[in-house]
Amino acid sequence: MTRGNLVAFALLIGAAAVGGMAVAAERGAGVPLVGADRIMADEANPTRATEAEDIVHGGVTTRAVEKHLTSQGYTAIRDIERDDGHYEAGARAPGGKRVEVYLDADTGDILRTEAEQ
Amino acid sequence: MTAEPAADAAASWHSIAVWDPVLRLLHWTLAASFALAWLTGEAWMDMHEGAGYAILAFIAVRAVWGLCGPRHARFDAFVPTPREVLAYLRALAAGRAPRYLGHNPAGGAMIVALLASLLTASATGVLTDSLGEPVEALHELAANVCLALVLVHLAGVIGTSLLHRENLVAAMITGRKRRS
Repeated sequence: MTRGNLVAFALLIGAAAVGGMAVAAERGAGVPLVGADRIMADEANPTRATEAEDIVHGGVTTRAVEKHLTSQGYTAIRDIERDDGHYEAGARAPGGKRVEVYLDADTGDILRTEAEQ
Repeated sequence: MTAEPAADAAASWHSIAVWDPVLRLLHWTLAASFALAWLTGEAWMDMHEGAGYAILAFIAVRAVWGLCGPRHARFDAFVPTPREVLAYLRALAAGRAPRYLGHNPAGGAMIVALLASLLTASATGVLTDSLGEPVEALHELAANVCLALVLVHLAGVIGTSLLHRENLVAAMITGRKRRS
């Protein structure tokens, strides 16, 4: 194959791979965006939280967790991790104290906060 | 109406169609998408992601066009060897770089570099959504590399335009260049 065609094929395959990755992510393989949408709807209108109940295995993107925590007054959010049905993240609480925050992965509710060791 | 064929004939006598319409459309929409993605990166995530997907689509279409498009759009016509790029850059530094009707070797290398770094930025952008901060740093690095390349690209276009006394920006809009 010629050099030019090789480069063109490589770009085409790369673009297809990234596109496939994006589609897989949108479909929820590891990144359930449906959860992210829901959590944002909840922010806009907290009374609608019950609508989320029919989605059993929701999840949210780390970005959505960050947005959600920001809307609750948390700052300096980092190390967002998913673990066993909840999310945890390091953050600075509204008062300024460093805490670990635990969120329900299905509803986005803040379950508890712990002072960081 | 009757004046038009004559005007066309006069235009084509002095200039020649080099960049096809698809190539020009891809060039400017890609440029606009990158600018949009850059500006919305921190502020408007839906638009940022939309611009990113658009960039990804343009890379794919450009690659296909590079395989089966018209002569000057084909990657075979402009992907240079490193030796060709160096020789051209040396000549450019000395102010006697030869004029190319299609892409010169440095321009050809720039296209490959830009498309590859835009693809890297797209890939790391998609992964940032699921993997978070560590990849986000890579995404920002890739985006900065893209911006740096765009600036070098602009410098190259301006420098080469001055050297050969032609308006390469206009050529990318009209598709036409002086014959020689």
